[in-house]
Amino acid sequence: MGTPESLKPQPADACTPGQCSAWSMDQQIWRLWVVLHFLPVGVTQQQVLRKNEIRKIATVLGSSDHDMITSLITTMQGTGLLARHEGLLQPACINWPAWSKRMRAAIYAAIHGWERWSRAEEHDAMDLLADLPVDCWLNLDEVVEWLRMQSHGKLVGAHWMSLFTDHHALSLHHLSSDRQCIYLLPLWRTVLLEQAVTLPAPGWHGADKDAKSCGFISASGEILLPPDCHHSVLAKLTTCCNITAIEQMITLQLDLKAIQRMGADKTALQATRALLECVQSPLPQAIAYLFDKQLAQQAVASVAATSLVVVLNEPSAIHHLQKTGFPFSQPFSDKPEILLLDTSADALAFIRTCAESGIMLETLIKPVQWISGTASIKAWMEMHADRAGRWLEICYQKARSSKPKQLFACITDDYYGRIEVRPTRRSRQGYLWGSSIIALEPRHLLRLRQLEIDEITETGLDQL
Amino acid sequence: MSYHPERPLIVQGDHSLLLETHNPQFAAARDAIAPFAELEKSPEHIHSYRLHPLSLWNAAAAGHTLQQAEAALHRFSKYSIPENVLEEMRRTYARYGQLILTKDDESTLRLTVTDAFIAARIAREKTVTALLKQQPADDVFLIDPVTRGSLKHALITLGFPVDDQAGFNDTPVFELALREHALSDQRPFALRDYQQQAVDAFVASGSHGVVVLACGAGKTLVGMATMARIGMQTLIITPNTAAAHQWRAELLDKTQVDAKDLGEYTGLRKEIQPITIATYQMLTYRPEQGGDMPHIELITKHEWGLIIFDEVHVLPAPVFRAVSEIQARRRLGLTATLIREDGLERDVFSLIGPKRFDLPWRQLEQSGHIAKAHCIEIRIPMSQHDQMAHATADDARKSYRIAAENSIKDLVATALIKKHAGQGILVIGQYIKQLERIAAHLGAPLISGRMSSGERERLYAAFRAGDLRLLVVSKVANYAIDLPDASIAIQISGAFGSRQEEAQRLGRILRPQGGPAFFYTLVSDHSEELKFAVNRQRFLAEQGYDYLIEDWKP
Repeated sequence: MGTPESLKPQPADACTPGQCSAWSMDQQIWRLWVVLHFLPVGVTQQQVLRKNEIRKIATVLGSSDHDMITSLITTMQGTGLLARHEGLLQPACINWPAWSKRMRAAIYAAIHGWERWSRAEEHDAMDLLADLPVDCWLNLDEVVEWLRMQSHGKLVGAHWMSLFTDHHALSLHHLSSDRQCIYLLPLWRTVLLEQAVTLPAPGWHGADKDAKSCGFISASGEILLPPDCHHSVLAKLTTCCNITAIEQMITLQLDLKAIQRMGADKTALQATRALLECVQSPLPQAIAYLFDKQLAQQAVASVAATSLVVVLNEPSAIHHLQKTGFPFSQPFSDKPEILLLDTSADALAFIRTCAESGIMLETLIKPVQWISGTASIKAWMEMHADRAGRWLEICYQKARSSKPKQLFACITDDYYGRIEVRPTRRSRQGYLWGSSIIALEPRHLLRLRQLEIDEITETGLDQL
Repeated sequence: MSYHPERPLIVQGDHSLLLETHNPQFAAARDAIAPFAELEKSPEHIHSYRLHPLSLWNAAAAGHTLQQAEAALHRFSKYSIPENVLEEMRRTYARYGQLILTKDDESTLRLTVTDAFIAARIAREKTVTALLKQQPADDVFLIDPVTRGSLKHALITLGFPVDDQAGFNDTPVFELALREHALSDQRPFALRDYQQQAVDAFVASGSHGVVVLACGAGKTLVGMATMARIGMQTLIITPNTAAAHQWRAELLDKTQVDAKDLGEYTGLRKEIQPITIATYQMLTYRPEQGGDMPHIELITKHEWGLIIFDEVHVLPAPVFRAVSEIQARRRLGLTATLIREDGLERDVFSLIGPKRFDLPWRQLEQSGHIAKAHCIEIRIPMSQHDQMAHATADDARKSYRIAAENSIKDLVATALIKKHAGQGILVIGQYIKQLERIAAHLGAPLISGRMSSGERERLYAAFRAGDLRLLVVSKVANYAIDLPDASIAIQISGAFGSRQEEAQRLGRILRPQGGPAFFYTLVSDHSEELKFAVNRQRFLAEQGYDYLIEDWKP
């Protein structure tokens, strides 16, 4: 047993039925690392990982071994794959040199005896371990025996066996299902010799700056990402997706409610759409439709994101409504009967609850791109805000007998319940100012909408 | 730790296989895995297969070896194959051939078990022992031929597939030949490649199993060609009388069978001839509530050489039970959509037989064998009155119905009919009152279950002849009705989230016409109906159909 060559390769591990795993250790770590993007785990004041969260993670991983998950998370934190942020453990950007350094430190820590070794002894230990044959199955007892035979000085007291059996989360080796054989990944030697590293599971290829971001999105919002997709996509997708499975491919489900919650936040919607389009372009029409519809929507009365405008028949019913727990706001102090239901609320459930409680609702207006309907236009008009200089698209009818006109106009004066606008007309050269100022009250307006900055630029209205 | 980004296949730890359709090696990989993996979904970018024990045992039964299956995975797999998947495949394959069923004599079958542990397990299992007649040795069991199907079903449920070598009963021969020219138009016709492959696959794998082909792809022809190949007396069971009559017309048109050899066993007639066509409804008819089903014996007592179960996905439970007694007869199931919301697909596989042939709908569309179809979901607002009624309904079912019967749909249907004037149009719905309302609004005839089958067939015939261009139909026209001239379907309401119904309704307009088919689904926006629509569309979405969503703009 003098040279490492004396360690005879063993046959590949024949996994015992029911025990073998689909995953090598580094694949398992990668899967967990991905899942933690979407389900970051909290740490209690006693520095214990929250059990409920571990359970959720285990469900996605299809594992019932909560201890193994906890142990992997601890190791991943120790090797810099996870970072603690506001009480949550979240995946960190992968820095392979730093990871390698931490990994080496973990190996040192694992084999340290009861007293610290000298630097020379550490080097000796590393050299010994680096001499072990990689990429083949070896008898574990023979490996340990060989290491013991080659040790001298304090190394004789090293816990070689426990290094391999108790520190399986090091992700640099596998044990056979009967724990009699060991397989050292080629990465084992790479780490010990301080060479450039990357873990071999395809998922870790996503840490490369050249990795692609592409995947597949179905019309129902199921997103399939290949394991080697660019890791930066994962972090971004956490804002609008839930993870449903992780096998070789990562399966996510687009959270339609999260998109709806973005309300009329055009920037967020556009960024989300762009993100999805970098996964798959063009998007399935059903998803594009969702964004188009959402983008076309504007917050009613420019107040916070709203799912429903409600006008109460009897303002005193507000006291009952406050007990129902639905999030809503009353934007106008002098119009307590006008409620804006928050987008996070289920509008149908709200209406049903009102009906069951005998609360009469006079008007229900869904927020659309156009603000239309008397109550909604009134609400918009009666806001306490100075909107002079803002651009609108309006459709108005001054007298019942006149024809409705639709045009772009700029607000010149904004009063409570009335606006004055300067209209434009279209010519071959583009838009030109109209000749007069128009005073409009809610009863004149059939619908209106505020123009976004990019619309104003595109139409050239900003050049007037 | 292999990694081959250029390859098309991803083998997952949960035994699913994902195949990238845009990869240059797609076709080769598909052909390599098809014998042992079951196609589950075939949307545009990635097709999903699954390594199911049944699919592996079917492969083993067809002579496809484990080594071939493993080699196919290794050849096309992009990433390392999870070791548990390979191990499970080995174990599953190893189970096949350990239980062999042979014929002892006319009244006894012999089950021989090669593995002593399995034999011991079987001998203890109550669901199995109840079906055994005798155990002359530790590894041999004798059974009554009547329990053949039930025993196989019970054993497969335990995870032990039976290699059934007991063969089929000798039955009266009845030669049938396909014509070279159809009688109706004298046009030459021959089986298409895939139809021939379906017949070959069925016969080669022991003449019991299911052929899955899209609506309009010619399943009836596959059935007739199988009858010609088997050459024995045949019972054909269809979902309704109209479909039975269609079978009869097709047999007279495309085979050389004499009309006197064709029997009809329906509510109208009770004839038994060498080729007999019956309906599920007739076979399961009970003169008294809770009483016997006198006609079910047509399946069990008569010595049929082949029984064809048309639209096998609607097989009712009593027929399931009867089928378990006729394992000595060849059985062909035909369907476009082997999905059941009750999850009984697996029973179809174990009692009729495994899936022998399946082709993605989009593949048939690309080859021009079924019409190119555009699926369009139109979202329609509800009136303020309906909206309030919907929101305040007592339960979700009532909300659904209010949304489904949204009166604005009448206007939308009218506009669509105007847009497609001159084409064969079907307006399909669930609720009779709604259908009556819309039929009156459109001035079109309504076909529902309340109409006599004679009157129904008269209207179908008028539609086929082009005398009628618009029909309003209830769920009676959901399947097995051949209306070659229909190219537009407007679905105004449906049975909640039924994927089956959605696919079958699309199937009514897939007979190739030369132009595209349009399948419109009218759904009330912001309603319960919208939630169910997502589930309804799942099967078609998995077949690669994308629904274009539009808002209704008058």
